[in-house]
Formats: sequence, structure tokens, C-alpha cells
Amino acid sequence: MANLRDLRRRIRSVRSTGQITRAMKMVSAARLRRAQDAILAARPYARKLQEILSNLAAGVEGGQHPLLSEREPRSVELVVVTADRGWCGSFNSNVFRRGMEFARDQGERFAGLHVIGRKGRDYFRRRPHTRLSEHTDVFRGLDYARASAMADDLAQRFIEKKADSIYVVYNEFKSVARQNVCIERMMPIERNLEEKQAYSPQYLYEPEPEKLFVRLLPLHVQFQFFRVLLESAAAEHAARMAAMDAATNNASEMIDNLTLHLNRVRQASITRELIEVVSGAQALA
Amino acid sequence: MLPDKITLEVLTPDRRVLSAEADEVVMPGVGGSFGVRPGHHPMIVALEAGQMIVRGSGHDETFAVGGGFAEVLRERVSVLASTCERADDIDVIRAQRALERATKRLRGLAPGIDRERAGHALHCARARLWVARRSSEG
Repeated sequence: MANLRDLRRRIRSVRSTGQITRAMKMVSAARLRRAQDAILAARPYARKLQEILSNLAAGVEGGQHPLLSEREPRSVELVVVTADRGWCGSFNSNVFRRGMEFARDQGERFAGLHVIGRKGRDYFRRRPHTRLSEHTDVFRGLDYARASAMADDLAQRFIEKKADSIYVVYNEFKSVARQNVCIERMMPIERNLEEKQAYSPQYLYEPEPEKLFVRLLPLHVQFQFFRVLLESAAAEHAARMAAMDAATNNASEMIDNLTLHLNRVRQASITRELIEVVSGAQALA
Repeated sequence: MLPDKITLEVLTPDRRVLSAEADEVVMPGVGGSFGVRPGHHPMIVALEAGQMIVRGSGHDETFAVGGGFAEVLRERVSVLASTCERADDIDVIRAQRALERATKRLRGLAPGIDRERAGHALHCARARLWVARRSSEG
């Protein structure tokens, strides 16, 4: 049976942990707000880009751009988007697991990983998978310039045929309470842009549609990659917020239990002492 | 009937930079600078890094854009640019540095993606400096 001093010490330690988790939850909530705003801010651009792309795709017959070329996938690469920090529940491990599954399913064709986030880097360092590139500290002050430079590097690998297709695995931000690990193909670009719009005026194109299309596709890749990073950042904060909320609740529950236990132990020792005093007095009487 | 104003919207991946009414918008197209007035034929056009001028009632505003696209409709213009800064917001010192860096890099590089990027950086920096200088001269 634990003694009083140990119990008090234990309660104190759990309480201070609870304070930390509560503070972290608050910080994550604030960061989540900002990350969500960033997603919303990117939306008008996304919509317009998509609109122009589908308009062009409809007009361009079988536009031949290197980013569209579907070839026998002999070399498949995967971009793993993880967080720089832990304490966010299963956020990182879910991505690891999906990434490993993907690598296994691809078998011989799997050529290597591009790891984003310190957690992913540390994890895959201890695994046999080839790491083609590593990026850390991407999410703090995430900016488009950085994201587009990374996307350009990936596109370059694809165009130079070092990779025949590139996938990305990341946590999609569904809602504050839900993140969803998903794998998407980045390259070659899926040709599902052809949805005809109800309203499409007869445009003039400058330069001609084929050339415009060729200029737009790299932008599309850049933006999609940027979006993936934004989603992952928001999902990370949401996951951390949920994890810290659970931890704070657990801490207070634990404090309650320990306090109850402490009081029982304390009461028991008082009772025992009383009995000793009383029976001692009786013996003398 | 011709519309008498253009609704201009400038979007970058991280925000909506501008949403305003204008009489004329001058943009840096790939084939050279061109102006758009209300009632323009619908057009999709690629933009270079350069300066964009928004002429409104009584005052003009100048922006440095970092390349992208514009969709022109009869009474609407949407500009999608990688960056877009108001002349007053341009960090001249930073642009100056970027210019030097890009120039240096361009000298030592073989043709390829890196050279393209350095070239783009150079254009952006030049556009920024030019826009900033012009606006400070009034």
C-alpha cells in the first residue's frame, strides 16, 4: 500500500501534467483557427484555377504535357506528410502505417520516400526504406513559395522520368473532430478535369490554348501540394487539440481517484492510531 | 449595352489580395502589357512577372505581380498570381537582394529547372523594383 507522501507526490505530478496538457490544448485551438483560416483563404484561388483548367482541358484535344504522361509505373515514389512535433495522438503513426502499407503493396516498384516533418524523418531513419528527400520545419509559417519549390522538385523528378508516378499520403482535415489519412496520386495528373461547365463563354486565348495549358499544369501541381500541406497542418492541430483534451480529462480523473485513495489511506491511519491509543488506555485501566 | 465598370478580383494562393471596381486594368501579358476595359471580349491570358495598373475613378494603383493567369469577362477580371503586392508594400531592400542573388546564380547555371527558377526570381525582383521606383517617383 502506497504511503501518504508518495500519494501526495503523485497527485502533484499529475496535476502539473494536466496543466501542461490544458495549456497545449489551448495553444492548439488557436493554431487550428489560423490553419483553418488559411484553408479558407486558399479556396477562391482553388476554385478559379480549377475553373480555368477545366475550361482549357475541354478545349485542348489530348493535351500532351509531360505531367500528364501515363507510363508503366516501374518506379513509384511516395511523399509522406507528417508533423514536426508529437503529442498529437495517432496523427503521425497513422501516416506511417499507411505509408508502410503502400510501400509493401507496391513491392518491387517502390522506389523511395520523400519525408516531410521531423517525426517522419526520425521514424523512417530507423527503417530500410530509401529516403529521397527530407524536409523539416515546413509547417511553421507555411508559405506558398516553399511549397511550390518542393512541388517543382517533385515535378522535375517525374518529368526526368526518375519517377513514373508520385503519390502523397497525408492527414486530410475533415473536421475538428476527424482527420482522415488519405493517399492521392500527384503525378501523373489525373485527367478528370474534363467536366464541362454549364457556362463557358467563347474565350480568346493568349497564348494559344495548348501553350496556356502547359503553363497551367505546373501551377496546378504546386497548388495541390500547397493544399495538402495546409490540410495536414490543420489536421495536426486538430489532432493535438483532441489528444490534449483527452489527456486533460484523464489527468483530472486520475487526480480524483488518487485523492480518494489518499483520503482513505489517511483515514485508515488515523483510525489505526486511535484504536492503538484507546486500547493502550484500556490496558492501563 | 456596355458595362461601365470592371469588377476586379486578384487572388493568390494564400489570400484574396484585392476585390474592387475599376475602369481599366493594365496587365503584364506574355505577349506584352495590355489593357482591359469594360465590355472586353472573354479571354484567358498568361501573365509574366511585371506591373499591373488598376485605374479607378480618380486614382491609379500599381501592383507588382509574380506571374500567373487572368480570366477576362465582359464585366469581370480575375487575376491568379503567385504573388501580388501593392507598390507601397514592396520591400525594396529585399527585392534588391533577391535581384543580386538571382543574377549571381544565373551566371553559374547550366540550362535546366534551376536556371528557370533563378530566371523567374530575377523577373519578379525586377518587376518589384520597377514598380516600387515608379510609385515613389509619383
